[in-house]
Formats: sequence, C-alpha cells, structure tokens
Amino acid sequence: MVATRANTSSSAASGAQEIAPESLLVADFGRGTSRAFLLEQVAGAIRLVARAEGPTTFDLPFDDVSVGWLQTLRQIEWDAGRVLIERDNVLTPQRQRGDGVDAMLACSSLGEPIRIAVIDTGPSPMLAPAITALRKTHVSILQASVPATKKDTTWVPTWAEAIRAYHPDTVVLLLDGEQTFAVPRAIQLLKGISGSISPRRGVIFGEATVLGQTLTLFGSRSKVRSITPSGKTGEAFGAELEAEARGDWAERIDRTDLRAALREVTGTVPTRAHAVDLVTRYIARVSGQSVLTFGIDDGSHAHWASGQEAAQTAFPRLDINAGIVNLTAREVADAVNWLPFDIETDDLMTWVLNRAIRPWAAPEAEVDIRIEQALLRQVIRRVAADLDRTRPGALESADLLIAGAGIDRWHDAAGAALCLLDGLYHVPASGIVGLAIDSDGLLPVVGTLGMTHPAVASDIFQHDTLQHLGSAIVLTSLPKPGEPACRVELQVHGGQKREVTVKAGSLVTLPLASGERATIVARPEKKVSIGASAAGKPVTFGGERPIAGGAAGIIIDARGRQPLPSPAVPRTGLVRQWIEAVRGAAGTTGAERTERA
Amino acid sequence: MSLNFPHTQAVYARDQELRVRRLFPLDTDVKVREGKRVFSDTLLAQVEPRTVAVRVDIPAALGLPPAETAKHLTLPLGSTVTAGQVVAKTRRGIRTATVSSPIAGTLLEVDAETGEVLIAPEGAGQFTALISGDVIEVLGRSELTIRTVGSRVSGIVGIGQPVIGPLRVLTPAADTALSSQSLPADLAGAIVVAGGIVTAAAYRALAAAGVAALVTGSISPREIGAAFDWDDGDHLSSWRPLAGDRRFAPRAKTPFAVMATEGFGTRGMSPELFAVLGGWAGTTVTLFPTTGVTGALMRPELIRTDDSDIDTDALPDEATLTPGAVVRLTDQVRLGQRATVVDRPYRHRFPNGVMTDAIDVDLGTGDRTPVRVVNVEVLLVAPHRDPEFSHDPA
Repeated sequence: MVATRANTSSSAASGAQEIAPESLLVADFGRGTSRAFLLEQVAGAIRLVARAEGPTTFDLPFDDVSVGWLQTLRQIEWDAGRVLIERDNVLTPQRQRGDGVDAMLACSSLGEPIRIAVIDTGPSPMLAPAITALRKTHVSILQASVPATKKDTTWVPTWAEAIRAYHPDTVVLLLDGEQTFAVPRAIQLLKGISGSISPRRGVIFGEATVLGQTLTLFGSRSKVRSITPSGKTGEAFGAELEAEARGDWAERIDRTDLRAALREVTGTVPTRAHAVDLVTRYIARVSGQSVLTFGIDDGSHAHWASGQEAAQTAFPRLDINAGIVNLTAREVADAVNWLPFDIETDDLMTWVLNRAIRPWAAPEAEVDIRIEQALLRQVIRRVAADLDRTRPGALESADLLIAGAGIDRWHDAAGAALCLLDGLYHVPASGIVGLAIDSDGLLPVVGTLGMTHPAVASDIFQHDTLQHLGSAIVLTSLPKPGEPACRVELQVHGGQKREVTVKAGSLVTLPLASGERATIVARPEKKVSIGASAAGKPVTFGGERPIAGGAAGIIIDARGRQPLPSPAVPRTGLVRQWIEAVRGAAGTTGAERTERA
Repeated sequence: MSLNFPHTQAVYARDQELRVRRLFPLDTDVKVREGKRVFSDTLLAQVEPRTVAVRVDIPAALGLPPAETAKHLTLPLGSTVTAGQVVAKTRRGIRTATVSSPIAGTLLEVDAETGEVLIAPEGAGQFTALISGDVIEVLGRSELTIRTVGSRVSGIVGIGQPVIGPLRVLTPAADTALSSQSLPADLAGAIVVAGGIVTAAAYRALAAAGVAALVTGSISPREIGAAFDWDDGDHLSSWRPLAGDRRFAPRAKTPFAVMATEGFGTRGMSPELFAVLGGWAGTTVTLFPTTGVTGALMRPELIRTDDSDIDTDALPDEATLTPGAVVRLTDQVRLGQRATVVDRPYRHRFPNGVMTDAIDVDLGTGDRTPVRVVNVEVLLVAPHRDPEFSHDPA
C-alpha cells in the first residue's frame, strides 16, 4: 500500500488506523551536520537501508539549507541505488519503478534557540510544568528566582545585568509566590531591565492586583499577556508557553530555502531533543526499565523515563563543537582527570578554544580523540547533574544508559562505554547498568516517526537503533586501592565459566557478546557493596532480567564512584589501565588504527 | 560546515570581488540603502548611545541606595570622561570612596531604578563604512553587506571593533616573537603585523604605543589575559559567546583590535600570509575583527582596496580542492600544517571504519597522505589560477 501525504497525515490526525508506508525518508537537520535516513520495507518490517550525512548549509557561505541537503540526498541516492529527487524535490509517493518514497518526515535543531527568561517569586504550581513544557521546544532558559529574604540587596542589579546581557526573546514573570518581599522585588527587576531589552513576548502570571503594575513595563514592541491563577492548571499554562515558543522558533527559521527543503514533510517537525525524549519514554515503557538517554550533538540534552514518569533537561548551547567553550574553566581543567597522558591546563584551554572556532574539524590523532572524550565526560556530568536536580533519584534508578550519535564519532566502542560510565558518578541502585549506543543517530528518527507512524518507529527501534556495548557492575565502599574488593563468576549459558578477583581502584572486563545469555555472581568483600545492596552481600545478576552483553562486555567498576578530584590529580597511568581494560574487551579501537595510519 | 567559511574564497583572496558583512546591534537606524556607493567615512548606521553604553553600578560600589547616585556624581551628566577618571565619590568615615569610569566617553544618565550610571563610549553608536564599495543588501535594522573589489586575508579569530589604518610589519619573519623593547616610535593608529607569539609585555607595549590593531599568527589566551587583566577566575569567560550575541568573545576587552590567522596558542603565522602582508606594508587597510561561529558565521578579515577598482568586474575565485591548491590542516594535532592538494576529493574509508570525503595531500614529503576534507582549508587557490603563488613562498 502506497500512502500519500494527504492520507497519511489525515489518518494520523484523526487517530484512524495507520496506513503503513513502504518507504520513508527522514531528515534530521542539525546546526552543523544534517542527516538523511532512507527506510524501507524489508521482509515485512521497515528497516534502515541507507543513511547519509553532510554539512548543514543554513549559514554562510551558502545561506541556503537546500545546498547541503540536496548533496546529502544525492549521496543517499548513490548509496541506495535509487532516485529520490526530481527537479530538486523529493519524489513522493513512491513510483511504480521504485523511485521516490511514500512519505518524508523531519526533525530539526536549526537556528538559535529561543531565549526565555523566567523570573519567579518562589514556589509556584506553574513553575515546574512551565519549564518542563518549554524544554520540549528549541529554547534556552535563564531562570531567576527571587530570594524571599530582604537582606540580599545585590540580587536585583546582578540579575538585571544578566538578563540584559541575555537579550531574552520572551520574559515570563511568575508573581504568585511570596508577596511581601519577592513580588515587589521581581517588579523592581522588571523595571530595571525594561528600558534596555525589547523581548518579543511578555507573559505575566499573578493576582490581578499586581498585574496592573507590570503590564506597562514592557516596550511597545512586546506582545504582553497576563494570566490570573483562577482556573488555569500548570499543564495548561505550560502547553501555552510551549506553543508560543514553538511558534517563535518556527518563525525564526522560516525561510524560503527551509520551506523548500521541508515541502514534502508530513506532520510537525519536532526538535531533536523532543524526539529523543519521546523515544526514551517509549523504551522505558516497552522494556520496563528505567532509561537514561544522553544526546550530545547540537547542544546537549538528557532524558530519563521509568514507567509513566519522565524528566528531561537541555543545554542547547553546550556541546563538544562550538558550544565546548560553554564548559567552565574548572570543568576543562578537571578533564585532565580522564586523560592517559600529561597535559598542561593552559594547553587544554587552548585546545578548547581552537575547537570552538573550528567546530567542524574532526579529530584524527589519538591525542585529539582522548581529549575530546575527556571533555565529553565533563559535558555529560554537567547535564547529568542538572537532571539529578530536576528529578532526584533518576540517575541512581537507571537500568540502561543510552548515548546518541555524537558519542560515537570516533567509532570506538570502548571509548563510548567509558565515556558513558564516567559521565555519571552515581551508583546504580541495582548494582548493574546496561550501556548502549545509537551509532547511526536513529533515536531522533524513531521519536519523529513515533508521532505519526508508531508501528514504523517500533520496527526501526527493534531492528536498527541500538548497539549494546555491555553492562557495568558498580562496586562502592571500597577498601584501599590494590586490596581485593570482589570475586566475580561469569557463567555464559552453554559456554565457559570465568572467575576473576577485582581489586579496589581497578576496572576489569569479562567478555560477553551481544545476544549471549549469562549469569553473574558477585561476592563482595565484607565492607564492599554492590549498588545499594548491603555491604558484603553477594548479588546474582541474570536471573529474572537478562544481562546485556556487547562490544565492551561486562565491566566491573571498582574505581569508586565519586566526584572528580578538583584540582585534578595526576593519574595518567591509572586512566591508561582503565582504557586498556575496556579496549581489550572491545578489540582494536578506532583510535589505535588511526594512529597506525 | 567546513572549508572556507563564511566565504567560498581562499584564506587569501587576491584582487577580486569581496562581500563585507557588517553587523550592528539590534534596532539600529541604518542610514544607507541598497545601491548606495559608500566610502570609508560614510555613516552606515547609528544606534541610540544608551543601548551601547557601559553601566557602572555606583550604588553597589559605594553602598548607596539607588536614589542617591545623582548626589554623589563628581561631574554633571553630559560631561566627557576619560578612562579611569573618578565619576562618583562618597565619604566613608575619614576616607573617601570613589568610582572611576572604565572607559573614555560621555556621562549619559543615571538609571532611575537601579542607580547605575550609563557612560557611552567615544563615538558610540556611529558605524562608518571604513571601506569603499556599494551597499548591495540591507537586512532589517541590524545588518548590511557591501560589495567591493580588493584583496583579503581571512583570520580565524578576532577581538574588538573594525578599524582602518596604515599597515606596519613589526617582525622579520612569520614565526618571530614580538619584542616589547624595540617597537618603532610612530605606531599610533597603525594596524601592525607580528607573525610570532605576542607576550603580555608586548601587548601592553602596543597599547601604550596607541596601535589601532594587531594582526598575528596565534593568540595565547594566557598572555593576552595577563596583559589586560582578564583573569576573573574563569579563563574561558572572556571568549564565551553570550546568549543573544552573535559574536565570539564579546566580553574580551582590548585597547586595540586583534586578529589571529591561525588560532589560539603559540603557532606563528602562515609564511604565505606573512609574505602577503609584507607586500601590503605602508598601504591603508581595514580590519573587521568580528568572529561568529554560532548563529552567524563570520571570520575576521583584513582587506585592502583601491577606490579605482570598485567598478571592475572581478569575479571571485572559488576555493576548490583542485590539485596544486595550497591548504592548511585544521585538526588540532596538525593545526596550521601546510600541504598541497595532490588529487581531487573522493570517498575514503579511514582505518577506524569511518567512510567520509577525503583528499590526498602532499605534506612536503612527496608522499600522498589522505586527510578528511573537513580538516583542510584552502590558503591559496591552485597555481594556474593564481600565478603569483606558483612557487613555494616558504
């Protein structure tokens, strides 16, 4: 059955039975790189058959997104051996001769995020839903919470300067908190910035008595609306803000060239972050696991989901490309903790600055790859810490850690596994956590598909999306480095039994391929714990829930999970051992081979 | 993006059509229309001085309520102030606490709400063309493009405001460090070239000499930070783009504009570019140091034009990876390394399994080395297109 744009979108909108397309093209427009995915029915399921990526040409020198996009499409045509474009348009629906596709979908993180300043006056039922809803769109949020105490006299000028420098597109004022000091101070702040910023929108939430004082403080160019608390739920308020932010973003990137590139797209165009959030929830629901996903590509985002609960955080200006300069100097200096060689902090700062001004250069030498991986760990740590604040306990509860395509740019499974593991210093409550990577960048594709073609999304997720790297067993309350911490037995079903004694401070791997079943019995020393288990209590893994193997196998982490030493301490030898331990299980890495080349 | 952003021309573009993009603060009053011929002193745009004024927080510095700022000013509003001049004072016991102006400019007003004093920099809010050419595009109230004909050397990172001045070369070679001891006496208003490392002492000496701009190979973050007291505990903060600002390093403050051709670190200038700038010595050049890597891609650029060439039809020479083109490598381990393109781009599977666009280059050894296309930029187009560089200037 060949679906057309019209019937596909109308069926999705009406909730009618999905008309399954036989082929789809999904576009993922990023600020630096854009990707195209060709999906097609193979043996009764929709599978990924070709993928291409190329530079995004939204900015100068081309200033026309279609230049790079058509080049990417030509590449995918070459790889797939079929015609997809005709007169610079995607052919839809698929022709009898096999050319074209039945439908095209897209997600995007093009353009600068919408800047939103949220000024709140203390606990409000509107605040959390507003922030959660806004994060589904392409926004950066600057949140100023007015202190309830009268003492802090520097608060208003400090935040006035910060908001002036931020140039918000939207100012959201939540004036339903503490009324004696906080609300007057928020109004004072608004007065302080009103002459020097000109936001596109102003949204004021509060009692009618205070609204009158604020409505006139925005300039004549701002669209200002006020909302009183009566009858408005936090979710409804959040949905309104989300719709406005989405509309502002769409308007910001609304250009003839992008409209042309998206001409054949059906359905809405979600942000990458929102698409990954949807798929994280899906994985949690179908697997019954607590899932944590990181996307470090154009900006950074992290998502957690467990059952019906979910949380997410986003840093649209922090990544390891141009956004690398948004790491703090302390975070960069502390990245030395993850390097297997000595480097001066000044040299690391210089490396970061050179990356920021040439964000499209790709690391080729081992030194560059290791530095990039060390800095990536710092980005993950920042994002994870924010998620931990947003949703306490989420990190400890994670059964499965997933990394997006940005974490596999070195084609180094061992490096990716270590980056994921080191990006968190929390201890998984169960004592074990699965590690997986989305090498092809399909998570946003699955999330985008899920909005209109859930069955197709399910096919792609099941067959093509994740590469399991293995699992990590995490030990805590460790003795001195070098002393025995735990004995571990690995019994591969239908295979060999292996035993190993793990010493404190070390990292040991046991091979277990993806798809292999095994049982692991870990017998910690008297004071050592596995996850949240009691000290010294043996734990068996692989009973009710299978253990995930993969390229990195089973990692037994007895290094101690704690915040990084700051300032960094020299431990290059240890880091080298850890890398070698995981690399040994994963086989020869890309870094090694690049070095030889 | 890759290669030669934001133009499709080589790092050194010689005697050809150039497009110069000028960005202004939001809501600027643009004074020219498309089609207008402009010269270096033509006023392009004007902005309300208040929007570019520096705010000095008098209440915080002197411990005063905001409403009392006006009473403690030492000069009437509208006065001209110099950098470091006291603008407000109060008695604290037997001592007098003072606040000085961080910049030279005009005392504009006192913010009634916060008590901060607004000081507009000298000439604040006026943007002149600094170059001859024709305005070919005006985008809203914050951007325009000028077409001109001339030669351009693109940098990779810049600081400060656009300037025009005579070019002076201060170092004998592309990798010679600039000595702070032996600067010529008459550098005021000049755009100076120093190929090798510029130390903190040399930066300070250049500031004392009153240069308009420095063009160098690399910027050492430590040296420039030490020269101008940037150390606020976060060594990256001066370079970090601000949300809402399209420029890289908007908070990096120097008394003169700076452009680096190679990047950050201690690497000397490319010998090819140093040779080009040596040929420009004594001529009037314009430096546009604005750099943008997110939102609006911009590279700093040094431009030399001749008014009599504006009407010539000098089509731009596209920077393509044709055999013979001189490129530099941009991955960090080999950053700045010179190479010559041996063959046209092709798809190549690198040993780590990555399949990507590559070219074969000669790193000076006579051997072919495959490198990723994203890791090269064209310094000079192929010799048959630019006979001046058919030999190796190094």
